[in-house]
Amino acid sequence: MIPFKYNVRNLRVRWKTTLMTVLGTALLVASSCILFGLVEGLEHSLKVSGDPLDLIVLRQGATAETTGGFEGKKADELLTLGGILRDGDGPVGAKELLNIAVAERASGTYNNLIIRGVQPASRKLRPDFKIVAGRDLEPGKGECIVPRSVARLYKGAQIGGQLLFGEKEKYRVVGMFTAGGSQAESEVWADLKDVERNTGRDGSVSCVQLRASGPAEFDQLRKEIEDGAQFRLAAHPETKYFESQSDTSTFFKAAGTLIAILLTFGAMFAAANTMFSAVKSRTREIGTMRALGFSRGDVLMSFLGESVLLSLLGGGLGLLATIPMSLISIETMNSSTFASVNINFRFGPWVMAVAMLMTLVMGLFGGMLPALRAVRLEVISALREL
Amino acid sequence: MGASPSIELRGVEKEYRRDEFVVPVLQGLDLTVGEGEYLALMGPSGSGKTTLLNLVAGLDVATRGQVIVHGQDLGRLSESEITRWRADNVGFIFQTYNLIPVLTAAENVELPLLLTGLSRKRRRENVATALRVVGLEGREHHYPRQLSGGQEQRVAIARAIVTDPFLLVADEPTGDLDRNTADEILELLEQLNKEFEKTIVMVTHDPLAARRAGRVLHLDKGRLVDDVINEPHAPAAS
Ligand SMILES: Nc1ncnc2c1ncn2[C@@H]1O[C@H](COP(=O)(O)OP(=O)(O)OP(=O)(O)O)[C@@H](O)[C@H]1O
Ligand SMILES: [Mg+2]
Repeated sequence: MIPFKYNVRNLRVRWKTTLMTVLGTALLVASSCILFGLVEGLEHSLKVSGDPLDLIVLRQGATAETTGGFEGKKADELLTLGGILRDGDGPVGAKELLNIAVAERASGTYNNLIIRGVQPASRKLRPDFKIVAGRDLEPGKGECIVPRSVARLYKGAQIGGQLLFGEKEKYRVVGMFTAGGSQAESEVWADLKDVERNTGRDGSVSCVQLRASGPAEFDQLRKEIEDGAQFRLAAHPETKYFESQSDTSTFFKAAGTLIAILLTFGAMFAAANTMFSAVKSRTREIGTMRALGFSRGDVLMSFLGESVLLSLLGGGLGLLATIPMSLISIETMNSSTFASVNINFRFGPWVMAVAMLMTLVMGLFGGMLPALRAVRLEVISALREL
Repeated sequence: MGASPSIELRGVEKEYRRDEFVVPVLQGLDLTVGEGEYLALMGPSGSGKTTLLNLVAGLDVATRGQVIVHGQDLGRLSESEITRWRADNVGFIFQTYNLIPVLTAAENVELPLLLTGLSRKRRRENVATALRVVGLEGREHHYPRQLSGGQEQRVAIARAIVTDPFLLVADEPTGDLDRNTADEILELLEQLNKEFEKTIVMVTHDPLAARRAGRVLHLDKGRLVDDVINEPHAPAAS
C-alpha cells in the first residue's frame, strides 16, 4: 500500500488549494447541518408534545385547536367520564381556551401569539412542565407565564412586565416556564377564566385535553366522546394530532434534503477539481510508483483516500462550525394557525450521521474520476511526463 | 561475460501504433546478457534505447519475440504478475531521479519495501544499509529539495537496491549531473556491479560512462549495430 502520509503531506504541501476546498466543503456541510438541525428541532417539538395516553378533544370537523371550539357545558360533562386518569386533585383533564392575538415584539414589529387559557391540570398534560423563573400564575388575577423565547422577543414579556394584546387584553407576567421542548414553549399561558373574560367568550372552550388511565380506557373514551349522543366531538390522540400539524416540518425536510443534495454535488465537483489537478501534477510520481511495483489498485486507493480525507476535513470543520447553532432558537410561523412557533436547533446524532455520510459520498464520488484517471495511466507514458 | 544467461532476447520486435500508422521501433533483436554483466546501451536519439530498457525491465511488452529475464518469459505474465515481478527483481534508476518530493530520503528508500512482508524494524535496517552503501548516512530525514542532484541520485540508487534485486536498469543516470558528480555516481554503479554482483543495463550518451561498463551495445534505428566487450580498465583491474 502507498503510505497514507504521502497523501497527507501532499495535501499539506498544496495547502492553499486544500484550504479552499476544505472551507468550501465546510460551508456546504454547515448549511446542510443547519437545515437538518432545524427540521429535527421542529420534529422533536412535535414529537415530545404528544403523549400516547393523551386525547385532544375538538369540535367535529375541526383540524386545529385554534379552530375547534365547542360549548363549555359539554366540556364539563366530558371531564366526569370514568376512563380519565385521576390523581389527588381530581381528573387529569383541562378545558383550554385559545386566543390568537397580535403582540408587539421588542424590535417594534408585530406577530401572532397564542394565548392559552389553562386550568391547573393543563400543566400535568405537558411533558416536564416547570417554572424556571418567577412563580406560577394565580387564577383570576390577570396573570400570565411565558416561555423563554417569548420573554426574550416580546415587549413587556419579562417578569414584572405587562403583555398587551390590543386595547382590552393584558396580562401581568409573573413567571417563566419550560415544557420539555414541546409546542407549549411557543405560547403564553394565562388562567382560563381571565382569557374567557378578556375575549368575551365565556361558556365556550377551544379544546379539552385529558389523559386516559390506560390503553383500554383510552379507546373507550374515544368511542364515548365521538359517538355518545351528548358529545359528538372529535377525540384526537395527541400523538396523531401533532403529526398532522407537522406539514411545516415535511416542507422543511423536503426542501432541506433537496438543498443538501445540490450542495453535496457542488462539493463533489470541488473535490473532483482539486483531485484532477493533483493527479495531473503528480503523473510522473504515479508512473514511478507503478514502476516500483505498486499496483493499479494501490494507486486507486491512494487517490480515493486523499479525496476522502480532503472531504472529511471539510465535513469536520463544517460540523464544528455548526455547534454554536445549537444555542439558538428560531421563530417561525405555523402554516395552519399563522401563530409563532419556536424551533430549537437540534444537533443530534442523526444530523451528524447525515453530514458525515454526505462528506463520504462527496469524497468517494468526487475522487473517483480523478483516481480512475491515475489508474489508467500507462506506466511508460507517465514516466515520460515532466 | 557471466556464466548463465540473465537476459535473453529472441527475435524481439517492438512497434507503436499512432492512429493507422505502425511505427517500428525495435527490429529483429537477438541478445544474451550474462549474470552479473554491466551493459551500456548507446545510440542516437530515437534509436530505441529506452524502449529496449523498458522491455527488459518489464515496463512494456514486445510486439513479437521473447524477452526472457532470469528464466522468466515476461510475455507470459499478466499485468499484475509483471507488476509483482518488477517489485521483486528490478531496481530502477532514472535520469531525473524521480524521488517523491513529499517523502524524506529514508521514506523514499523504504517505498519498495512496503511491497514486501518485512517488519518495520527490518525495513528500517535495510533502509539504513542501503543509505550507507550509497554514502548518505546522516541524510535520512532530508527531503529531496534539500539535497543536491548527485545526492538525489544516490537516494534513488539506494531505493533501487534496497530490495536486493538482481537487475538494475538505469536510463541516462548521469544525464543531469556535472562531470565530477557523474563520475561519483558511475563509481557507485561500478561498485554495485563488482561488489554486489548486480546485473546492470544502463542507457547513456556519455562515452566515458560507457567505458566503465563491461560491454557496450550500439543501437541505430531500432537495430543492434555494434557489440563491444571493453578491456577491464585500470581502477577495477588493479
Ligand atoms: N509510446 C510511444 N508511442 C509512439 N511512439 C513511441 C512511444 N515511445 C517511443 N516511441 C518512439 O520510439 C522511438 C524510440 O524511442 P526511445 O524513447 O526508445 O528512444 P531513445 O533511444 O531512448 O531516445 P533518447 O536518446 O532521445 O532517449 C522514437 O521514435 C519514439 O518517438
Ligand atoms: Mg531514451
